[in-house]
Amino acid sequence: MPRLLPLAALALGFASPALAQMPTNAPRASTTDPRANLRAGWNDAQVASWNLEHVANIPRSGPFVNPENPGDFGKANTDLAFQGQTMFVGNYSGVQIYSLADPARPALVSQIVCAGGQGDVSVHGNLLFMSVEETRGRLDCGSQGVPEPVSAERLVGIRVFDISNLQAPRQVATVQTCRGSHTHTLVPDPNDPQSLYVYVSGISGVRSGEELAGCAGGSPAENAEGSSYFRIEVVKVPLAAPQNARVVNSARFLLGLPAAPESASEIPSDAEKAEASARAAEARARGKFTITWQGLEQVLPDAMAAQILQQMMGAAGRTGEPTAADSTMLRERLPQLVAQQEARNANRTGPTSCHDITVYPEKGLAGGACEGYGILLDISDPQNPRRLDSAGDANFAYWHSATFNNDATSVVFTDEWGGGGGPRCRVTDRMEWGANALFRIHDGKLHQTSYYKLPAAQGSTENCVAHNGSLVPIPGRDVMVQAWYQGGLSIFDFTNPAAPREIAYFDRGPMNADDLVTGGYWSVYWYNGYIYGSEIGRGVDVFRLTPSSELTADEVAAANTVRATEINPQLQTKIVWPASVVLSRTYLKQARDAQAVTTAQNRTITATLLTAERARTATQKRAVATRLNTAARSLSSSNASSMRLAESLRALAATLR
Amino acid sequence: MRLLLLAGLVLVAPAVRAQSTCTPEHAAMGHCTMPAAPAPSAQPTAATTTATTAHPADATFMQMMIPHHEQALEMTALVPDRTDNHGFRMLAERMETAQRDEIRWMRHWLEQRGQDPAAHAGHLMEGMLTPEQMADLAGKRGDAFVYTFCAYMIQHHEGALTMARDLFASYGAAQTADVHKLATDIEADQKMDIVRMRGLMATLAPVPLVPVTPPSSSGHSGH
Repeated sequence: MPRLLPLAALALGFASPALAQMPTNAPRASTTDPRANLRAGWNDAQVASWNLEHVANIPRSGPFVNPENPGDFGKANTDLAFQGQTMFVGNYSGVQIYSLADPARPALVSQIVCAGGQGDVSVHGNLLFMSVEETRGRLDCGSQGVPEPVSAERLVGIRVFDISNLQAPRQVATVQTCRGSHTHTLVPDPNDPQSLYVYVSGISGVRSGEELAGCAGGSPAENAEGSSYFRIEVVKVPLAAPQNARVVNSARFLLGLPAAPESASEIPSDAEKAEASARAAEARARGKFTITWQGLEQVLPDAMAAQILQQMMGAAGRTGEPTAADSTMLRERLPQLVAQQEARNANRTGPTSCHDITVYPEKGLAGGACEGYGILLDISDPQNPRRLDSAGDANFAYWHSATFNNDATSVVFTDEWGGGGGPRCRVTDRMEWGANALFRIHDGKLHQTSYYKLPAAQGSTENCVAHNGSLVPIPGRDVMVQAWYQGGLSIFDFTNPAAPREIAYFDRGPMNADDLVTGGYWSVYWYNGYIYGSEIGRGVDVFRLTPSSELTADEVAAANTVRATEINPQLQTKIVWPASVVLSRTYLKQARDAQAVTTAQNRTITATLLTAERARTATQKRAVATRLNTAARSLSSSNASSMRLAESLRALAATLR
Repeated sequence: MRLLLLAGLVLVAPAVRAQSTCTPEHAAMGHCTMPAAPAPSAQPTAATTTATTAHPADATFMQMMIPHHEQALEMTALVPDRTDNHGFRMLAERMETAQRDEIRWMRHWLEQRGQDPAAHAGHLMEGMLTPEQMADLAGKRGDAFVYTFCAYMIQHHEGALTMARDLFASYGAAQTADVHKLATDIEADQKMDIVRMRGLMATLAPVPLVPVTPPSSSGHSGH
């Protein structure tokens, strides 16, 4: 067997088409935006706001703030989770529990001092889950750290607290993992309500096998089944006995990934393929050698063909001019050589971990953000997530997280270029870098459509890059609120994932005018009519949407009717809008904009909805219900927006009977 | 040439001030919970390491990483005059941005703690290019430059990964959130860069490279 040439040699002279096509004069962030030059300050920074009301700010307190060092990262606020009238705010030093009895004014209930970072939180029933990745994390929650490289006192992995008494949560379980837990995701099992799964994403180095048995490094070639890389851990939590939580699976969907295309546009089009094939056929007719590489036929350069031929002959102990038989043999062997090289390349470049996984159990889907890949997973069997598709993008440094739209027909992936500590929204930082990439999902495949980045330039003392967010439940539209660290929060509409557009924002000036003092929003999420922001250095912020040219009063009011009982950011649940006049009015406007209702229908339905709003007596309500049903029947069933309107009118009628 | 971390010399862990509200009994239960009653000013500041102290292993890591990163900037500075490969230039620009920001961050961290950012200036750290390799790189053009740059930068980055691993294996190291995050981010970013550069190399013809050590063996390539 001849020694295989390195892939580099096989690919000699191949162009990299997509990279060459990348725009050289890409648009830059605006320096004239009101957010571009805000005055600095820890608690008195200048503010710019658009289409949002800033309702409250609750600063960090007690052991969760260092008054002498506002940027003390050991006390940075992190992720949020919500349950009933309670909000859980993660922190590198533990968890802060706030009452939302007055949702506009969070009130501190208690603080769990328990260091270990990142302290991302999730909540399910009476259990609170927390991610621990730092080597200072201790089983006993102590703050003294763990100086020994190997120690029985260290905990990196998942903590579980019983929060039956919010005043005094108790740690009831810990699950040690080989690479700690940078983030985690709760995954309910639709067939087993007594159990809960937790997907654990660890991105740190592998712990010593002396500290935790079974932990080991190694590439897929060296240690495919035993390596702590190339996997996520699946923890099963028996809800009645959380102390028995344990790792039940190492999900290895990161193995055997094809080499990621450098960008969506690098995937050759059918026309390009046809053209390349024609060129290859013509070259073959002239006696040239051709191969198929990454979906495209290519002509093997003469020098390389000669080199491989010489090697083949050398292996057979011959020298001199190759014979016709040698050429035939090479022709037969080339596909095999290419396949071997592609397999080798895939093994070498696969991601070693996921940063974050967002699950959407009602759709049986998950989005994994895994180093150089965005991955679509089938989670219909939650213990055994299965890869459906993967995407790559040369502009993405580090795939960070995913957010699906409500129908799971599109997904927003974020790129946390630099890990969140760097100023990456300066006018010099490209708009495709540290941004969101938007994809349509079609037939279980990802199709990239656009980028979205904070449109306002930020300063060099403001850490800024794409980070966590959630959907804002505007009916009929896909809207997301997203944290950009010191870039503030940005709300954008991505109903058309090819043309995302900002519709609201809030931003403060930097923590410090002269130094980069880490701060800004880690997470911003919608919860029951309010937007809550976890600010690394400035505590918790509360916002309400204000109607504007971008959002009608009806749209805002309809969003505010949505009620959730538990929100965990990495666990998406389907938004359902209760029937209401404002909901139907929102759908009516959207149907009107889509020209899916006639002028007469519009007039009738507008009047009927006004009557419905004013109906007080049972007789009035019955009468208007009949009119709503009649109006619904009159609508076309051939258009999505008129069908949605009709359905909402019928549902509204049902509430009036 | 490789400098060892000074971890072995560290005898005393940074001082810790206990939480007055977190008694040993609380700690034995597995955590400390603080009811939200007292005013913030009445509570002690919980600082595992104050902003003015630096663990020697952490400080040494940064003092070594600064010249390591600075060499990466010397390498990226060669790019504009030597290749028009747009995809590669984007990759190099992104690496340059990341390394420049991290140098600034590390200098600031050290200065705040009274440590000399230039303590290891001029030393050749793990994975760094030898003068011969730098000269080889500077002398190349076009695809040969791109191929060589990637090979040497992979060698350089793998050195940084080794330095980060050594940090985590050192007594008392990375026990503060900011240092832990820096080292973890360096690992994550540079691992990604390596994958990208390997992918790019796979599209180019290989060219001869200068090995790290004098060619005592069979003149193997340097990565």
